[in-house]
Amino acid sequence: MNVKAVAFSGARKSLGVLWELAVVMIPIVIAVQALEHYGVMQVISRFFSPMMSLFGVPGEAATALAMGYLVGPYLAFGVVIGLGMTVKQITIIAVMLALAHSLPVETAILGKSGADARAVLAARLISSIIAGILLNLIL
Amino acid sequence: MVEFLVVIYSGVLVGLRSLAEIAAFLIPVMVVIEFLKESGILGKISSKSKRVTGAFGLPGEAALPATTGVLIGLIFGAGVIMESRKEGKLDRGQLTVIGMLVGPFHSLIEDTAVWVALGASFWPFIITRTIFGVIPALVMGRINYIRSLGKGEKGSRLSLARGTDRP
Repeated sequence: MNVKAVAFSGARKSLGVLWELAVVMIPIVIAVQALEHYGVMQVISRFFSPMMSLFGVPGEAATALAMGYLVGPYLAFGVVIGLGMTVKQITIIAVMLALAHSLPVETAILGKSGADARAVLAARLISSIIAGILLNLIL
Repeated sequence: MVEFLVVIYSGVLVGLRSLAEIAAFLIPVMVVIEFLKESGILGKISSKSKRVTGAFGLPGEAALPATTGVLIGLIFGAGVIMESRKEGKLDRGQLTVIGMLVGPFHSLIEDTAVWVALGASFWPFIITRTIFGVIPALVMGRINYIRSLGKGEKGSRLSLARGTDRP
């Protein structure tokens, strides 16, 4: 194993990932900050606050969760960055999304690899919600 | 109009700065992952983890796909899982256990690096994720075991883990 070659290969791959991240994240960060600036986030916030308060996060974080669940963590990163949240809130969102993200795509992949996709999906969603509630109480 | 441009500009700055913070973690992390893969250490970790996978009712063959999925990532891990499935050594129940383990609990190294860079708190993140990744898989393993008892099959949890599941 050629150490230098492996290091370069790893670094190169990470640049690829960073580029993908950038392409998705930066527009989202801009969009979120624009929405905040023009008052749309406040509306979303008021609407989702009751539900989000279960997890101890602001109403706007519902956007992060929705994007993370449906599309992917990269989008949620963008929202989290754009909104600015406390360490506790970021941790809660991080755990909830780490457990359940990119659900449509990943569930399809897991199904193809032979698992019972619906069971896994249910397990992930339920874990995500319970984890959010628990962490809110504990942290 | 100017206002709008300022919003965009500040969004770009915030985004770029966060990207730099993420890069500071991500680049070293991915180099490490590459090392784990190329040096065969991942394979060694997988063999060591056979006793752990036994607790979920999984045979030794599951160790590599499960460990790969957990440490590296879903898509890469899924590729390894699909290969194992083609070799025919894992049944649907076992594959579901692997799915339950890998679904909530994958890209451990990468995900953790990025979330911590964004501001999440390391220990609560890791511990909670581990708990919720492992419990459903354990439960599913239990369900598989109970089902196998009902059907009278040989694949009971203990015999799989001990490798005595042979005719």
